[in-house]
Amino acid sequence: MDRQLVPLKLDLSAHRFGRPQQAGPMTVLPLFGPEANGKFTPPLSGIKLAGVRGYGNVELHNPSRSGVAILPLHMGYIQDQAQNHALCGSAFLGAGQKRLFEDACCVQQAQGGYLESKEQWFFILPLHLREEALRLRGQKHYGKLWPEISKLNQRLGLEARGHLEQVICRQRPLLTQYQTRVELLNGQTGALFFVGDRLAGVEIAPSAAYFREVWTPLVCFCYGVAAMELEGKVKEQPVLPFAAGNLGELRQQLVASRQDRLQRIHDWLHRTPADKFDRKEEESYLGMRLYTATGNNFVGQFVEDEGRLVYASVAARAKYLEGISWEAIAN
Amino acid sequence: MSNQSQNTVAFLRHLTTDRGPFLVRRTEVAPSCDDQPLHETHYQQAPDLYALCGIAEKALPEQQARILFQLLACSRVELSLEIRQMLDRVTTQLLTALDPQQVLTVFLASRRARANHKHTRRAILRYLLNHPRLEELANQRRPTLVDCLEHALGKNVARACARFIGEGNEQDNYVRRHLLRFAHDPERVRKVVAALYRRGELLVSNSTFVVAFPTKVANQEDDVPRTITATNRGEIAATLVHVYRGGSNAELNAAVQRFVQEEVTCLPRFDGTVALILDASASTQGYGEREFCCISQSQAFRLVLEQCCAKLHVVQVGGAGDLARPDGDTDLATAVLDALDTEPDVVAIVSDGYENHLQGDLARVVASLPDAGVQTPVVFCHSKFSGKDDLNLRRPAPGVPELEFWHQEDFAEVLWFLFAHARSPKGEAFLRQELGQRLVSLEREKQSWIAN
Repeated sequence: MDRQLVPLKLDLSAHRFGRPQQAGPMTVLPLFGPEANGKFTPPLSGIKLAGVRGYGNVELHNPSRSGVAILPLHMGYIQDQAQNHALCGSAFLGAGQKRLFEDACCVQQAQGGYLESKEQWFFILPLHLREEALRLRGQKHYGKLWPEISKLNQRLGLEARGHLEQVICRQRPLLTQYQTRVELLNGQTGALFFVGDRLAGVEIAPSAAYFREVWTPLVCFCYGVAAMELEGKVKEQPVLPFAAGNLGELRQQLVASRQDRLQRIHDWLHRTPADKFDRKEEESYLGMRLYTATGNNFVGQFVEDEGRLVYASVAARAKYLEGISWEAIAN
Repeated sequence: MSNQSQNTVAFLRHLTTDRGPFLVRRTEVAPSCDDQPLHETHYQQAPDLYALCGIAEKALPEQQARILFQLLACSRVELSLEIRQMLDRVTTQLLTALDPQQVLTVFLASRRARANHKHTRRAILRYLLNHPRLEELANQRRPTLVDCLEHALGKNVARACARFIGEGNEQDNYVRRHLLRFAHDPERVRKVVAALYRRGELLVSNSTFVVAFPTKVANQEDDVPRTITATNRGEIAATLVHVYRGGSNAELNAAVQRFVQEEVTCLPRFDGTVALILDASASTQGYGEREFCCISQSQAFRLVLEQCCAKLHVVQVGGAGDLARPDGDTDLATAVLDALDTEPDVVAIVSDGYENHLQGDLARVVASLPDAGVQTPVVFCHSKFSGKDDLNLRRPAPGVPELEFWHQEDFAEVLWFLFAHARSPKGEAFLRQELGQRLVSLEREKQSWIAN
């Protein structure tokens, strides 16, 4: 069944979209949606890493007494002296449940040792790895993502090998600044992420508490890595003053300029091809259904609760990201 | 946005950062310094303010030497008595503070520039003839001292004095009138001058060298704690962190007030209006062990600033209320326009430096102000966690003057420069008053051996 997931008309009525924020090549359009009223537990408190039971087998646990945890798509764990792992898909984890995911991928090729439950800090796979990781879900081969990680390292100017920590850990001081350069707003439940002039992803969470806990992994390590690649590639333009003769005119011109920039974001959305998604149900939990959505330009997963969209993590495919231009948004 | 006080502050910054040496090459007729035109321009604009800049805290000796040269080399014909006296007082302080070798270089420069104004000659003679290490200087730099003396007195007069001293007490009036009237200890000078012209015995120095300037500078490297935490960045911010963490109570609130009152006693005061743009957006909350550190230090700065200026307008970006939790995005451009509507003497933006709605707008707005007829300076004050914060991605308006603080001890310097940036005439008035007070306190601290 085909379904158009991404709304292609920018609604600025403030009921769904917040004011856009820009940090270098990244632009974020905050989303505000209805709260799920405690039905879903946030990922940091609702999902605990129980450990790795052999390479590629990650065991997760939902210790809460109530509330379903939706695994954030492509979450991963990094620990010292252990082989870091990431998951290829989302899933439901009911209260008290413990599940072993046997299709996880190792993201640190030459490191031995198993992850333990001691550290629960998690990341989301960088944007450029998400399509491949989703395609490889269900395949039980822990080294399956190494070639893509190697390619990502190469395009970032790092040593070409299957070690994601070269990006996540060594670039961390720069990447973690994205969570302050772009600010999470009170009550925010999702966001549209643009890298350069392209829509790079749509992230929707069931609650503000959920989105707060998935915000740093998303903005820093998923979309932040893609933005970091473009940082410094565009020559800084000289500051262009407004042609205003007094403060009143200056204020008017600032407002007009902002309208232009909003229009620009509107245009980016308009230019986003109207994707048709093939959706495939992956699993269900009571009335909730987890689907994989595959389109020409975007792939991802989403959850519906009684037909209502409660979670979505849909990212641009690699070929769609190739035409990104940042010159268009640099002042 | 360029005005006199802005230029003077930029010049003060130059005095504390440019370490280029003051050199006088044998082949050149004037000292070779890249910034000589800058010094000349500032002297021409306001000689007294220029001179006072030389005694500013943290002014580098290399720059003080340039100022001393300027003060000695320039004519004072058209200056009022009051300004001349001020220049003399600063000259005395600079002569006392600078290393003798550097002072001799300045004297040689004035000789090379053929500057023999009355004040130049007096300054040279009072310095040389009363120097605590005169004998040592005479032994080590004999030709230089002879050159300087002959420049100050005139070659024939100097040599005549030396000859009369060597021949005994005949013509004593001549020597006294031309040379010894500048000396506190005429007998000592007789011996030295005789030695300088090879007419006496070798000299032995018993004096110890004296400097007038205090060398302590706040917040030295040794004073910085090895590990910076939420509670060792000054008492006000430390208490506010506890309030922000949810522990607000009467005791903490009273402590904040008390710490603010204690702090402001030693801070500069400004008789003007300041507009403060306080960034309380979501990012100022921070995270982990640094949570609430940035916003607490920004709020501490606000509380202190309130007490240090005649009038303060606060334009808050994000959050709500006096000590609101950080929230919202960062729109600094609109805040600047709102702040300018209050017609302040200076606008201070206190922020973590992350502008995101819409990035680049602040730089455009600030760059547009001169053409919009706004002369009020805008100063960006970085609120940091530690002195080593990386500000590379935290400069939303690169053309705007920047100040930084992370510890309460930084407030004094930040406030000083912030007030100094204020538009004319408030900024200049502040500078003159502060530097004038510093001159008086330096004079009180130690009576110079050069003074009459």
